[in-house]
Amino acid sequence: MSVKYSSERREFLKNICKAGMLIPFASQFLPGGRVMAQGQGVRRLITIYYPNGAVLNRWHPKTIGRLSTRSNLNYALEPLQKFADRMITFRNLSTKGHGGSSSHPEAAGRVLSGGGSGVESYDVAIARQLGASSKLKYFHTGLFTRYNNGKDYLPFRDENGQSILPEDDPQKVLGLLFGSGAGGSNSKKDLQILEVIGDDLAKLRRIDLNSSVNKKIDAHEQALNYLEGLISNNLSASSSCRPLTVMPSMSENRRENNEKAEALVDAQFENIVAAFKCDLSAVASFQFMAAQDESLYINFDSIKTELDAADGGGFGSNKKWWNQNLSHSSSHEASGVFAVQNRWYNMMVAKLCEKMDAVADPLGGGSLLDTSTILVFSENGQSANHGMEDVAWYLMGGSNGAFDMGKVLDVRAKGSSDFLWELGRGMGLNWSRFGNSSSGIPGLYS
Amino acid sequence: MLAKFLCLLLLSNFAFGNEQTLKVFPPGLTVITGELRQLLVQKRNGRDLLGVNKQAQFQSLSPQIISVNERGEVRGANIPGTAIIRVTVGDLSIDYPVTNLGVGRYIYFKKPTDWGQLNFYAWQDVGGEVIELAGSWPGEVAEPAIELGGTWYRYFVGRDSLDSSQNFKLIFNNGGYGSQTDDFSMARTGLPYFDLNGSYGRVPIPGPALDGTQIQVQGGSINLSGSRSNLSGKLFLPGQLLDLGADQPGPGRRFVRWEGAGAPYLLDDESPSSLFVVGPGASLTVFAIFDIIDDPFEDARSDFKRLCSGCHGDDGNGRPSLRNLSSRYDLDEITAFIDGQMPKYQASLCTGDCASGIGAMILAEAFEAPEGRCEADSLTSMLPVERNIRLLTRVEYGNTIEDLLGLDVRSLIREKLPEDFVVNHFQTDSSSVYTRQHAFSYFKLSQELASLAPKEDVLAPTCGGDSSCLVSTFGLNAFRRPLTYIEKEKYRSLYEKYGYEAMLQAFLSSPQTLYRSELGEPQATDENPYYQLSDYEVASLLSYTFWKSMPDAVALEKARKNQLSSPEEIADEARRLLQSPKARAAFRLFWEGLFKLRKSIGADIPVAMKSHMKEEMVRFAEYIVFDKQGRFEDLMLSQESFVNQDLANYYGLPFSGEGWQKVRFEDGDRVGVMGKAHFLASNSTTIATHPIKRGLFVREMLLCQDFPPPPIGAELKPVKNPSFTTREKFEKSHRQESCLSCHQFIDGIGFGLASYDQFGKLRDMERVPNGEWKPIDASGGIGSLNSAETVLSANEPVEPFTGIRELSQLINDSKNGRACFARQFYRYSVGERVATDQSCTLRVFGEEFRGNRQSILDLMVSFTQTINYTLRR
Repeated sequence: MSVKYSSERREFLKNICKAGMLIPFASQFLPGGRVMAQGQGVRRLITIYYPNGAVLNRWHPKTIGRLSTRSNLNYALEPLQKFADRMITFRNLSTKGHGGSSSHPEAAGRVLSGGGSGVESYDVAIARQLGASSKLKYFHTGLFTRYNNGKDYLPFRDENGQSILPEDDPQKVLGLLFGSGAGGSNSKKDLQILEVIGDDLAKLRRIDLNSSVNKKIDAHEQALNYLEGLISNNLSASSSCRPLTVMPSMSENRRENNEKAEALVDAQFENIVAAFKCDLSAVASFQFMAAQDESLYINFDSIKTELDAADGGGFGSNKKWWNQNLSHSSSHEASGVFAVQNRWYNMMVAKLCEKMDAVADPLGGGSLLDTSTILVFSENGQSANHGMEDVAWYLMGGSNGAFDMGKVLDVRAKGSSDFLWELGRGMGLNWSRFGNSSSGIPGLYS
Repeated sequence: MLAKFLCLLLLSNFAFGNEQTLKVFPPGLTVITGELRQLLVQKRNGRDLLGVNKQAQFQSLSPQIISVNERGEVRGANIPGTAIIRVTVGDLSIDYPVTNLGVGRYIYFKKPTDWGQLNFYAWQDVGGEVIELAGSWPGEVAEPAIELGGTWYRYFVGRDSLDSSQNFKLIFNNGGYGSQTDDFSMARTGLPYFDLNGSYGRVPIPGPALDGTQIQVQGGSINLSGSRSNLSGKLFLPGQLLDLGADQPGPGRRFVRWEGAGAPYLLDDESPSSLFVVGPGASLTVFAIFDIIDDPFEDARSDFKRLCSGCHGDDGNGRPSLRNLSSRYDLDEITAFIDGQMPKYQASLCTGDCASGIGAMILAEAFEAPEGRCEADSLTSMLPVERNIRLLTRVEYGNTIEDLLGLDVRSLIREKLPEDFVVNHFQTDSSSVYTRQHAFSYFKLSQELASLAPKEDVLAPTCGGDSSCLVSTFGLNAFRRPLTYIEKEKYRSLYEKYGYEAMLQAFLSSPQTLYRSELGEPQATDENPYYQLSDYEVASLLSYTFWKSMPDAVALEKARKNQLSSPEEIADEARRLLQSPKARAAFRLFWEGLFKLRKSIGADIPVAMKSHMKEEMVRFAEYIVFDKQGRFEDLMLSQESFVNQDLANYYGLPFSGEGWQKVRFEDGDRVGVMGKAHFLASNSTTIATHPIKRGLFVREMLLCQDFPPPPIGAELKPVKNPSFTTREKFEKSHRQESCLSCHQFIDGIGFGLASYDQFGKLRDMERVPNGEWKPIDASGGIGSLNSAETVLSANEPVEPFTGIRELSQLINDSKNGRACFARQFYRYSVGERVATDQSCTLRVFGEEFRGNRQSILDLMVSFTQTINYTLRR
């Protein structure tokens, strides 16, 4: 090797170290999860899905670098301005080769599972550690997920790789969390009933059953164990940290549900905050509709002005816009209205941030928002062509210091599985990989 | 107008002439000594592109440089240089140059996704002198490794350029733009695979690339060596070699060929397993085409065996031999001979159709039945479905509770229980799993139901307060089978200790109540290694299929007496259930899925009217099936319908009286399910019709033909031109070849329905965005009506039509319309996407219906009559 070349190379290495560009290489040599300073590390994770991608030129910030509450975020992310210093929004993150697809259901079923089909999604994998000591390892909530086109169109998968249909009804989520009705006054009787039911389940087991039946019986058993826990622990005792608001409920009438959609989202977020506050769970998920869905009209009063601007005063007239059609309808140009819908999702996320920021983490370290991480993602990037590049994903929350929040991070075509892996490692998880990941990404850590 | 339409759909050759040329792919091929690459020969005939490798002859003019075999595989020989490969197909010939770089090896590197390009820099220290092997820093640009895909790149290091007796050093970098690896050492005999960490340590498994051509397969899969999953939909590098395999055709079906824009890139488009040389472009789609294995001589063969084989032998080789008669006789002659003289001395036994049938069979030498045909009495063909336990849906649980307790609590159940999954658009998913939400909800709900239930003397009036009797009586209904002794004791003990409501609560949330058992008992014989459902399981199967509820006392009594075992007994029970009003109510769930009634209507129509439109669909279907005992043609072509006052006004129909009334549309085009406002409005957008949605509905729901997802990179935004009609926008938008692979099957259907606007109302003009009114062009076309079930084939003729009636008539007359209806009922009943191994079952139970010899109700009874109906595997 020539001396000349060696010195050039040393110089070169020095420069890229300064620029932080060796981090992806260096991070692979860490023994496993990141070693956090005492008390550091994300305490809770919320994963939020929105369907069908985004209008990217109205979503992504125009520049790379630090974000503060004074930064000018682009149109769709603008509602999150107030929390920009606790946000990382990504540029050039790709789902290509990591579950991305031109098919909505294929992408929806894979991107959060690291590219794999029929395998658990990221949140469920995280819950094995982050939620291990919680009463409820994880729970899934949503809005209008019940109007899905089929189970393939749902993004979350349980430990067996089965689709999870989140609970749309905040009252039912409340019941699940706080056990209202189950348990009750006579837990001895309830446990006896449960024992009889358990025996009936056992009777279904036979040695020659196929794996799909066995899996059903296993899932049933796990669910009954959970119920037993609810009854035994009498979770209703946690009522002191129940949400105080009156929970709206879903009705059979879709139009009625649509009209109270914002209240439903609000209530679901109340449930999530309450679950965290009461330490019932450390991993929660929220899903706006399902992939390729048209069910939710977005003619909400809160975005009337935006819709009027996007649609030439169309709000309140005969036009009723909906989602999937807006993303790439060949019958009319509607990307302006679709961008409003993108914005609306983020308005809702901002509400969640506000709620979390208003509650102190019982373990200290600031608000729940300060110590938690919120991951927001979609199965598509550019909605109009089912894009897989430069997807509109972001992180919110202080992450308890684990991540270097407050910036627009260019990950330079890194894959979404690489990002999820790095995120997991940042949470202290000892993963050697996640799905199709091959290397970490630079710039996440403080 | 039709000519214009067909011109668009088929990309007519008129404008391209018929000049024939050969083309060899990939262009500019370079290999090294020993490297094997596949050539693909295509023939362009005007606009058509055909893969012709099988017909091609290959000859290397310099075999010492490049050799080539008869399959078109070229291999670098020992001498570097460029060789001409002469390719000949019929009268056409082309000379194709291939370059051999000589002896050496490729060095591979897995490029990080954020490196723009990959440069290879290498050097060797020979006696203190540094020799650079790939130019000066940052080295030379590496190329994508098509044999590996992924982000693998390769660089060729020639033997002559280095001292092969020792190792050399190398660095991979991104073209000197800031990223690079450490110094790696390449051992003389080591593996030549590296990533950022150094040696990769193993031979990489080939995979899809991050950029390239998307390959989509319908009816088959793409595999690469070492990968188990189907890689359809992924991106591959042009020139990459893929293994393409058609799905198993299923009993009674056979693979025919591949079609679609990707077919010219196959080495053999008539083989179910072919190599696929990835071509250029954004996306290439291939469709596997299957067909039914027909046996037109089944009856004749049976007659032959009965009457003729004694002398002529089963195989026709007896005395005299009946082989090779077609060169001497025609059908008329042989028919006349059999009719008048055969069987010898008993000629009257076979005349007319018998004689002509046997004659045709002899001429075709069809002495043996075709292999793989569907046989209704063979469990190899009629493979039973897997054993299962099916969680009751909310509708099923609600109906069951109503029957068990006499309480109408269906709205309470909808409110309390988690939603059901949807499969094939039907809320009958048989793979549903009981979750924590179920556990909590059922427990809570059953507590509430127990408190609402009638007192025990009402529920079991004959028991007189006897707890054992109560448990046995109620348990029989709840579990839909008698309880075992241990079960009785457990429930009795619960009753004794905690009372009646506790016992009810346990029953109502027990897995034995919540699951429909289809586990059966093993038969364990050689002929039948399957599990036989018990009569009680059969009672439940029938009841939940036709009533969406538990079996009634009559059915349970039949089960107790083992009277649900034979096909006749099962058919009788099916008919009894179908005659009940409960069946009519239960089938609402079927219509909701089949007509996509859960889907919202976007157009600005009052909510109540949308609800009326749904109700019209259900009432119409119920009338056709249950009142009229109609056939598929009634569902497609009847001018009858049901309206209330509001809907009558909407349609402009005269109406007097109240409630819902049967009416007849005098507009002769407004027929069947497609003539209803719901179909037309729900498959539109808020402001315009949507030919694609309408076309897709017809393909997916009425013809059971599905499509792969839109190709990667397809620009789905509309063509912006305010003077365009909806039709013109779509015609322009889909004029890309990658779109046409699928849209040739979709758009023409929707175009032909353009006379109905997004409200479902008749129109003859459309207002375009610039305010101008333009006349409607409702000329449509539909192809692939008679291809094998679920298969889309571009080789089928495109039938022109205008309007709903003509389209409905075409679907009614097609092979696929009735076959699809039977398939939809099967999907709804079994609650799963039908596997190809069920193809024979579908064919057998739907045979009479497909021949238009059966009503819809009779089809449902036929569903219970196959030999595998009560078996599970």
